[in-house]
Amino acid sequence: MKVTSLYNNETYEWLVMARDPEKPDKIIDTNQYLIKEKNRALLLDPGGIEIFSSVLAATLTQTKLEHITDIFGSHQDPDIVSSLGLWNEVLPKLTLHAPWLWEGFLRHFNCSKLEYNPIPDEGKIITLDNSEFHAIPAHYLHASGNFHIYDPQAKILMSGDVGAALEAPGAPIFVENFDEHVEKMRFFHQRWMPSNDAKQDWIRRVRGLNIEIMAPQHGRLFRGDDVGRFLNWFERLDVGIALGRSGMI
Amino acid sequence: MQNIESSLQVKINVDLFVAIASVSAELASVTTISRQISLSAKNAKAIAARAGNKALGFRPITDFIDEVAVNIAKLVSGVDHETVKLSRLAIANFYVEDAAAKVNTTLNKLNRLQETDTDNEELIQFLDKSIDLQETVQMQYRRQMNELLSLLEETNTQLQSAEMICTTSRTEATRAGEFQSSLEVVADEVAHSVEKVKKILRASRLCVIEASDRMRMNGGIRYTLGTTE
Ligand SMILES: [Fe+2]
Ligand SMILES: [Fe+2]
Repeated sequence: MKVTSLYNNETYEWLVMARDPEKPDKIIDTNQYLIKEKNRALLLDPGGIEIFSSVLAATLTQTKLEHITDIFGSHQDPDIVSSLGLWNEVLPKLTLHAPWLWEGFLRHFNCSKLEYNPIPDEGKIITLDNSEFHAIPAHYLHASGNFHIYDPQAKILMSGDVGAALEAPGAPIFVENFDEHVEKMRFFHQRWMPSNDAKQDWIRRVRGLNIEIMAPQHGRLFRGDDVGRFLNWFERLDVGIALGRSGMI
Repeated sequence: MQNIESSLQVKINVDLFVAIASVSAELASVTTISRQISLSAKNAKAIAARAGNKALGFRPITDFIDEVAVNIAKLVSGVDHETVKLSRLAIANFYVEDAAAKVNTTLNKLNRLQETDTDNEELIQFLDKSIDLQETVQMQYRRQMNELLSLLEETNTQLQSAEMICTTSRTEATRAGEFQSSLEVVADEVAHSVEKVKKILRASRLCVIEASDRMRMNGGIRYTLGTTE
């Protein structure tokens, strides 16, 4: 699994761990994010059971096991957190920050030892020792309880499934040609995102943020002007397309 | 090698879960049967009342039958309860093992990433602790298994006394004149039900022993540090 640094200051570093060459076929490729301080680390959307070993190995090239104290789960999907039961076993002290809405559901993944920090619908600030990160609402994009992580200092928005693309294995980390990239995102957003209202509300709020990198959970990351391009494209896109497909009954 | 080991492990765990679930499944029908036994006892009581003096010796027997039915139902629900505990321990063991297997894979991946042969100290410590933890869970599991077996044994003793009552019932029935055949039918019903419960308990016992064998096989597998996939 490839580890790429996205931002680094004296206090903490943002890293993306992605493009696992050992990932079994037919499993959607995911980007895992790691924010590490000197003695503490936060994993964002750590991924599924099948890639747990690769993610843990990649993480341990960056930090110590005992320093991984926090996990953020943007929503309840298996590609986001089905590895939770394993982290629960392996990490000596773990807090899971995830939507309050999914607590009763996520606990189906062996959460016996970890502490669940429920994020209320309006969002919450997640703090490490010397830095803080904003869990901002992204409800219905696509899950009914859903958050993104915004870091005003690094100007990074971890945008979960928003901005996701279905890519060939080994694709580059950043979008290089936005117009070419669009086709890899269209179906994903039209089919997985259920609500045009939720989408517009999110775009309105996100436009008010200062973003240098938008980092989705699948596919490439957006940098600089491509962030604004994405917002414009997404604004015009009609989502929830399966609604017209109820032909059987 | 790791893959062969872990797939064997999954197979053993699956067999273990199936064996434990089978105990509960076997026991599910016992409640119905014990209700049938109670019903037979009520029937016998009614017949004995009609038979009056001719069935004097039969009356206390009907109370016994009722009591046995209640006891069997109680014991079996106890067995069921203990089986749930056993299944929880098996799941706890599965989690610990699964995490250990994956951490073992992580060790190899990490060595490849860092191009070193020296295993990560924290992961090694985790594996050591996880072996201890597995041993603890397996010890609790064995204790739970013995608990279960002795409960099954106790239930069996109840059944033996029920069988004796059936024999006594038949003897008493011969003294009941024209009520003899009705009372014999009741005794047969009870005997038949007891036989059914005995069969179920035998099958449950086999499932428990099977589960214990599976667990023992499980306990035999250890993670060979540093093996490649
Ligand atoms: Fe999702
Ligand atoms: Fe996803």
